[in-house]
Amino acid sequence: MAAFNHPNSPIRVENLSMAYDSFLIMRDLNFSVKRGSIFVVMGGSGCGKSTLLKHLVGLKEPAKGRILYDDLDFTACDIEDRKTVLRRMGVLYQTGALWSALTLLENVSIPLKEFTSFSANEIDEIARLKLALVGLKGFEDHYPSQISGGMQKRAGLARAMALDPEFLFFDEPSAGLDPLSSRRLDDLILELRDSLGTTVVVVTHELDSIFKIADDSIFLDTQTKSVLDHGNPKQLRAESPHPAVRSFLTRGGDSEKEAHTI
Amino acid sequence: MQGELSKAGGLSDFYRIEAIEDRFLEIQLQGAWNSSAQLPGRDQLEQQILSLQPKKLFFNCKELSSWNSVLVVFVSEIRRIAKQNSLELDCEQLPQGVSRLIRLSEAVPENEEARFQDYHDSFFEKVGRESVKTLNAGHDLLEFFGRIIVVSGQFLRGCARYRAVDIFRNIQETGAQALPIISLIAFLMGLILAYVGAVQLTQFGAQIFVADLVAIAIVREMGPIMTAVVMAGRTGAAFAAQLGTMKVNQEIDAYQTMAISPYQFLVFPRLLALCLMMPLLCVFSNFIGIFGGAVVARYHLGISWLQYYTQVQSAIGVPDISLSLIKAFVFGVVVAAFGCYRGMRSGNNALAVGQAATSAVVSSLVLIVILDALFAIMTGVWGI
Ligand SMILES: Nc1ncnc2c1ncn2[C@@H]1O[C@H](COP(=O)(O)OP(=O)(O)OP(=O)(O)O)[C@@H](O)[C@H]1O
Ligand SMILES: [Mg+2]
Repeated sequence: MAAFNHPNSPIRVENLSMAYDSFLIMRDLNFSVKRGSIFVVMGGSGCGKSTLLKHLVGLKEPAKGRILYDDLDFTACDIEDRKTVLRRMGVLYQTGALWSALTLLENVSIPLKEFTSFSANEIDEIARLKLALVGLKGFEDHYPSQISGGMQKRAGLARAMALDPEFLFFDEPSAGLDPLSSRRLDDLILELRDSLGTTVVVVTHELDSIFKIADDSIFLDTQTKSVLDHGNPKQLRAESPHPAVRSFLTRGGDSEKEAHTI
Repeated sequence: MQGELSKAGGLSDFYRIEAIEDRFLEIQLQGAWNSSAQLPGRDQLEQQILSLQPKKLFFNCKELSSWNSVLVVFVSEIRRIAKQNSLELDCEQLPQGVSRLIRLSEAVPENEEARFQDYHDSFFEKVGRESVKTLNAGHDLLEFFGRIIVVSGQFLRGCARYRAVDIFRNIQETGAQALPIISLIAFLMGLILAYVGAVQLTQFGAQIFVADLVAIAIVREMGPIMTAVVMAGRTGAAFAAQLGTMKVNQEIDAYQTMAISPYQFLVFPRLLALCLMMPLLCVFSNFIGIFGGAVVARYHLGISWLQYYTQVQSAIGVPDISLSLIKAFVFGVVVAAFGCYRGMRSGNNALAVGQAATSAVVSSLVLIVILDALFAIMTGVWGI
C-alpha cells in the first residue's frame, strides 16, 4: 500500500498494530491523511475506532508500527518533539472529557493561557468566540456538570479548537446532538477545513454527516482486524467490492433479504 | 411411548415433553411464561429430551398465553441441545416474536477472542506473575517519585506551569478547613496523655512532671503522627478520589494531549499545598495538645497555668520543635504523594476510584508508621 502514501500527507500510519495486552484490536494498518482534508474513520461499534484515535494522539503506544507527523516518528521521538506535535493538535473525546473543576470559559482559556502570549482580555474574547461558535453563548460560567451531555460535547469541541490547531481529532462529534446542532457541527467542520486549512480526522457513524463532510475514509473491520476498504465514502457506497462496506454505507439496505427462518 | 415426562416443580407447569409417533417429540408450552417461571437446569432438560431418543423436535404453542425473554432463553437452550445432538428442530409453531428475537441475538457472531480466558496456572506461574507485578509496581512508584522531583525542580527554577489559584484552593482545603478536626483530636490527645501521666506521677508526688510528659510526647510524637493520620484520611483519600475521577472522565488524557503535564498542573499544587500546610497544622496541633494537658493539670492536679507554662518551657527546646516540623513535612510529602500516586494510577471505573482512595490511606499510614520508627531510632542513636 506504499502508493497510498502521499508526499503531502502530514499524518502517516505505517504497519500499525493495536492491542490491549494480548487482545489484538487491529493489525498492520496503513493509511495516510492529506493536508487540509477531512478523513473519516468508520466501522462497527467496538471495532477499535476510539483506540485508533488514542494511538494517533499519543495516549496509547502501538504494539507495532509507526505513526508519522510530517516525517517525525511520533511514537519514538523525544518528549520535546512530542510536545511540539501535541501542540499542533486538538482532540475532542467521545465523552467530552471537560475539566470538571473549571467553568466552560476556563476550560477553553487554559490552552490559550498556556501556549499563547495573548493578554488576559484577548484570551477571554477568543474563548467566548469559540464557545459562541458551538452555540454555547451564555453558558460561559457554567461548570461541565451543569450542562447536558450534548452541550459538554460541544464545549469539548470549543476547547479542541481553542488554539486553531493544524490537526483536529473528533471522536463521534455528533453523537448525542440533535439534528440541527449536528448539522451546524458539520458546517463548522467544513468551515474549519476551508478557511483555516485544518486537517480533520473524524470517527463517526452518522451516514448523513459522513457523506456531507468526508473527503477520504477508511473502514475498519473486526473480523479481519484490518482496513477493509478506503476511499471517498460516496464512491465506496457505489462501488466497494466489499458487501460489509456497502451495507454499512446504505444502513444495511444492501442485505435486507437475509434469511427469515431460524 | 406416550406420557408426561416433566418432573414436578420448576417449569414443569409450563411445558410438557411428549413423544408422538415414532421418535417425534412435541414440546408443549402452556400458560404464562413470565419472570416467575424457573428454567430447568441445562443437564436436566437435555437428559429429559435424550431419554426419549427423538429424531425431530416440534413446538406446540396452542396453550401458550403470554411470554417474555424466559421463553427465548428456553428455546435457545433447546436449539443448542438439538444442534449438539444433531436432532431436527421445527420452530414453525413458535410465536413470531420469539423467532425474531432469537434471530437478532444470533445476528452478530460471538467474538471468540474477546472472551476472557480462564488461567489455570501452576504454583510457579502464579509466583512468577505476582513477582513481575510487584516489580512493575515498584518501578512505577519510582517513576512517579522521579516525576515529582523533576516537577519540583522545575518549580524552583520557575518554569513549572500550574495555576496559582489551584495552589491557594488546595491550601484552603488542606489547611484552614482541617483546623476543627485537628483541634479536637489534638486537644483530646493532650487530655488523655495528661490523665495517664497523672495517675502514675501522683504516686511519687511528681504531678508537676505531667507538663514535661505531655509536652515531650505531643511535640515529638503525637503531634506530627496524629496530624498525619488525620490528613491521610482527610486529604490523601480526597486527592486519590479527585484524580481518580478525573482519570475516569479522561480529563487527564485531555491534559496530556494538550501537552500540559498533569504532574505540573494537578499533582504539584496538591503536593505543595500539603507540604506547606502540614508543618503549620502540626505546630497548631502541638499547641492545642499541650493546652489539653494544661486543662487536666489545672483542674485535676491543681497546678497553676504559670507553673505548667514554665515547666513546658524547660521541657522542650529547639531540637524537639525542629524534629516535630521535619516529621510533619516528611509525613506531608508521604500523604500527598501517595494520594496523588494512587489517584493517577487509578483504574477506569467507580470501583477502582474507591480502591485508589483506600489504598492511598493504607499505604501512607503504613509508611508514616515505618518512617516514625526510623525517626525514633535515629534520634535515639544521635541523642537528640
Ligand atoms: N481499556 C481497555 N482494555 C481492554 N480492552 C479494551 C479497552 N478499551 C477498549 N477495549 C476493547 O477494544 C475494542 C475497541 O474499542 P473501541 O473503544 O476502540 O471501539 P470503538 O470502535 O470506538 O467503538 P464505539 O463506536 O462503540 O465507540 C473493544 O472490543 C473493546 O472491548
Ligand atoms: Mg469509540
